[in-house]
Amino acid sequence: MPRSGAYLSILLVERTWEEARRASAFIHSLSSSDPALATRVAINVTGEAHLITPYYPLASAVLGRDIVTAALTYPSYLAEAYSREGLQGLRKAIAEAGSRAWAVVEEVSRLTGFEAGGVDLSVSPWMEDSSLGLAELVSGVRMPRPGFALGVRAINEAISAASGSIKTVGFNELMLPLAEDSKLKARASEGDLTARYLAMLSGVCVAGLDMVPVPASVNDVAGLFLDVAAYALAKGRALGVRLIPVEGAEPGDRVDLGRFGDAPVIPI
Amino acid sequence: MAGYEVRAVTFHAGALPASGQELESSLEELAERALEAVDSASSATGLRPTYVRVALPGVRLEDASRVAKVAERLGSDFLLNAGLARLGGPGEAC
Repeated sequence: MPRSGAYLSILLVERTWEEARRASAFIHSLSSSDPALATRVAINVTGEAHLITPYYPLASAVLGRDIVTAALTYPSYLAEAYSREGLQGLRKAIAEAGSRAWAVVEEVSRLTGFEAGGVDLSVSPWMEDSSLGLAELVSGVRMPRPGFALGVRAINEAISAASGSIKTVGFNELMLPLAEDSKLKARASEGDLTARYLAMLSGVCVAGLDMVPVPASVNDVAGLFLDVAAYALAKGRALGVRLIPVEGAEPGDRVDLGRFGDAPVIPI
Repeated sequence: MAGYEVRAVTFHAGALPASGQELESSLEELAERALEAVDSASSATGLRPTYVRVALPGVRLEDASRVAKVAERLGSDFLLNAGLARLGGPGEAC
């Protein structure tokens, strides 16, 4: 896979150690040639093929159907709405931005004949526009202090409430991809975060273990796939894992991830 | 005051030819159509997506490099997802 705009997801069907180790070994081999390549592959731990979400790398398609979807970048916009009017303001802001994204989907659908699939209202960061900033504001504590997970849950409930008026598709939850969120990178650099803590957050948000550099270990990474699979089964929802195993790295080291800049390696 | 952006418009293309040269040329045609539609929709709605993406149901190993080549030709704002692969099974994509 050259340095192009191409992505891939790998489906875990049986969720056995053997299958998880094979997937882990594949990610390790990609990452050992260039850690940035591992940012282009996600493990779909749910066994659910043909997932329809605008988010990469888990986005797929349904054979024989053409569908168009959209996603938003809006953490800071939502944080301001929450600061002004609390959870009610948050719900209102999600619904407003979602409606405008839906208008784009409808227009593209009209022009191309693709079925209008919906909007994924997930809150996903891009660097300074931080999902963690919103989650810490709503929870009232710094991650990973006790109480943080309830704030994540409150945001997901606000998304769920707002989605009543919009056709939604995909995950519709808070996302915390480490290497895409400047504030999350900063927290990880402080040394308090572990991959197991982020995996645990999969119980309350869609992508607790996303874009996370860890020291290379085929067995431990495979085990994390299986732990997140357990959360996916318990929630009855699709979940993905995107880990970047870094050969010879220790927690606290930094790794260059191309367009995502550098990110700290955290302990498993 | 902070605003919001449409992060991506994603075309889930389930009806393209499954493999070979036909897949490559259909992908390029779809990309052209998708970019035109997104341009028009952006003018109509005032929202321009940061990324235009195409997601496929999955490709065979021998076609993965074709998808990557098309993605490379289309540039960094246009992303292609080859879809699902299963490791170690028949018909695997990688």
